[in-house]
Amino acid sequence: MNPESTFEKDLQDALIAWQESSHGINEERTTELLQRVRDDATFRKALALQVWTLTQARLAQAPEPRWLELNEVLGIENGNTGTSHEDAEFDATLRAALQDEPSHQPAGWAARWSWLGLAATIAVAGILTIWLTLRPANRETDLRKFPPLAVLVQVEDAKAAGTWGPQPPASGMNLTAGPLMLKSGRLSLMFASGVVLHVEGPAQLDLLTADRILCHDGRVRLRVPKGAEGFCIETPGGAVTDLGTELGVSVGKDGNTQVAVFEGEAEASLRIPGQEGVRTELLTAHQSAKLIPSTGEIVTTAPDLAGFLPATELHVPPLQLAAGYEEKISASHPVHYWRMDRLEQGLIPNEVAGAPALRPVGGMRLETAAPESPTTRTVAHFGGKANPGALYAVEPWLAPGAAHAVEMWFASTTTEQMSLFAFTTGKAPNDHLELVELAVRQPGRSPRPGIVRYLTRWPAGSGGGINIYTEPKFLPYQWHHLVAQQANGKMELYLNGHLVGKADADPFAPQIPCTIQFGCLRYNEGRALAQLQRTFAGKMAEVAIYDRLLTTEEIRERATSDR
Amino acid sequence: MAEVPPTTLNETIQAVLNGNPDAFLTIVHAYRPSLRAYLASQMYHLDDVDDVAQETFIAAYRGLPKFRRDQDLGAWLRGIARNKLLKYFEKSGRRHDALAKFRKDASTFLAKELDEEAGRTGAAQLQAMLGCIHKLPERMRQVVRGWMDGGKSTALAEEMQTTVGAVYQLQYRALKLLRECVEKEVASES
Repeated sequence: MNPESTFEKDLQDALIAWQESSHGINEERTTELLQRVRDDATFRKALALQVWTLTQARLAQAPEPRWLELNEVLGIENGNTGTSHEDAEFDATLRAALQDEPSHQPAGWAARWSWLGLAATIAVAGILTIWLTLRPANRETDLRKFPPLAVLVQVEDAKAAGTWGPQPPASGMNLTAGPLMLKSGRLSLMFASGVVLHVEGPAQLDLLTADRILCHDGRVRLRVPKGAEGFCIETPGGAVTDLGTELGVSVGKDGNTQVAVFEGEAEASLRIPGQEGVRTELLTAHQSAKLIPSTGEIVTTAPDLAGFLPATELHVPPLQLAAGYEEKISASHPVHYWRMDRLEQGLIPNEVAGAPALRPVGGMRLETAAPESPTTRTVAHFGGKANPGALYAVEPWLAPGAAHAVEMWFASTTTEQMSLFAFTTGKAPNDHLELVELAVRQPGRSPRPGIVRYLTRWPAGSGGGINIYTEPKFLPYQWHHLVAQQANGKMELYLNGHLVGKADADPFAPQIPCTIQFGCLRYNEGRALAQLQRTFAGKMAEVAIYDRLLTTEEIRERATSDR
Repeated sequence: MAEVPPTTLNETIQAVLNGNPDAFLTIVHAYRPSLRAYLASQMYHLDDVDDVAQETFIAAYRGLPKFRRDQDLGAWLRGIARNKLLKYFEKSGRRHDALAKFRKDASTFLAKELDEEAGRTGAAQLQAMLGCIHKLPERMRQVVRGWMDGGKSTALAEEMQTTVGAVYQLQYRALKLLRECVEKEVASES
């Protein structure tokens, strides 16, 4: 045997001895190996690398610890010394990120920070199992390494299992790649792409990437919006790939998997035991199949919906603002203030005396706050594409070109491109003077949901203009505070109290007659609702417009008013 | 791998010494991956690894006033961990455990190399490792999962319907692939 082969053989044996000692290698050989470890520095280095790689592989798959004793010594309750969820970390980093100098062009690290963009990057890595863990406190660095893949948008009687840490699953919690274990109840997750995954306990999953999960056992249901096709649910020995659909997957403890397609199509695939071949089966709406890993068979079956997770409706959490919020807004002397808390004669009244009310059209309705919660606000609900609706001011407004600001709270229920508000001029087709949208695309970049776009056009028009595109900043099913303002062409966009973009545009004329509208790209009276574009799906509340810029302090104070 | 920049680290330590225990969490989070890896390289059971790691951080918290700022905090923590590890071995009787004899003796010789590897390990390596595991062929992944479960090769071979020798071969190849993959991933990330 040549020296190289001997080296390799010794290394293999030493590793076996390291792991299994005398169970793996006899005593004489062990002594021989030990001698080589002692005398041969190159061999020692090679063995250390082997041992270290093996250790990393073990640890990478292991749950993070819960160090209650350390918490106690530190005098910290739920100190997150070990396992926890990501949201506090993510939020903290979000805040830190938002405080960075905004840029028209994404700054290098900020672009990498983006939870969606990075999720896609990480997707390439194809993570098998990363445990949900609070990452090391070097937060700027670590969030970029551990981007949230999905946000928990709904939690129903969920009892956590495994590595959730001291805090139970809660709506708004951001989830990174890693295991997701549930004893009972239901969780609904929205991925960056808008894919919604419902999970019912008991279930054990791994969130792998932005478009892939591994379901070890349990029942899940997947809703994939247009444009996000290709989401994959790996199952023991197989996979179910969405092709634009709503589907259910149920994995038993024995690894046998049931798939049902409720809408659209999906492809089931299963590795055939003992060979490299993979069996595939295209399933269309109302078809079911059973995947049997032990035989590699995919057996189409009669649909039996009882075996699958039923559809779950998602809800935005109530908007809770500190008592006195409305007084503060009024004291700031807005020129318009629609609280969106009531209808008077079919209109949403303007709190500013003499200023115009808003007229609701189509699928816009008020969602009344629960009376038992004094801080919860009534909000406007917009039905999106399914039930298009909008709001518009019943009288034109002479927008002060020198300076004005628009402030609102919003929560979206999809990640599609949607218009929040617009100032338009002229008659149909009306021209935009100002527009704020929740966007997916930005020129020159790949689609990335979660972007906010602030556009000004002077003179008003149907094309061109100056845009601010933020990095992905907003999460669906969460309330966000937004301020878009401009003075003499200086545009600023704030989200959740932080400046997230600024740009220089052409100054407006001193006074511009315009129409104020909310919830779609353009609205003209009499226009068919089905023709509305970029209709907003979500909720909106406490909208105010000012004829001045809001100060940073004012914005921050209001943005932190949510409870 | 010092995950906390020196300036921040000094401020963090000062904050702890000024009576802010929360600040110690920064240290815990930053050095936990490398410390756990260091301990796990020499211990069989991950539960024991975490017990000793926790004891190490508690000792470090109590002993922080003694830490000299010109020292490498990671190395200082591993020093504490080494002492804890020795006590653990004594307590668990590992010194007399023939099963673990090779590891015990070899780890003495490998102490310097393992310490160096620990100094280079952080959350990024573990993150990359996960991605790399997922890229492995299915049978190699099965072997890698076996490490996590602490399964012996014989049991794994039985489960995989193959020989123990084949499991060792798969393991060896998997380690090589993983090491190359992690190096590549970390390099591309940085």
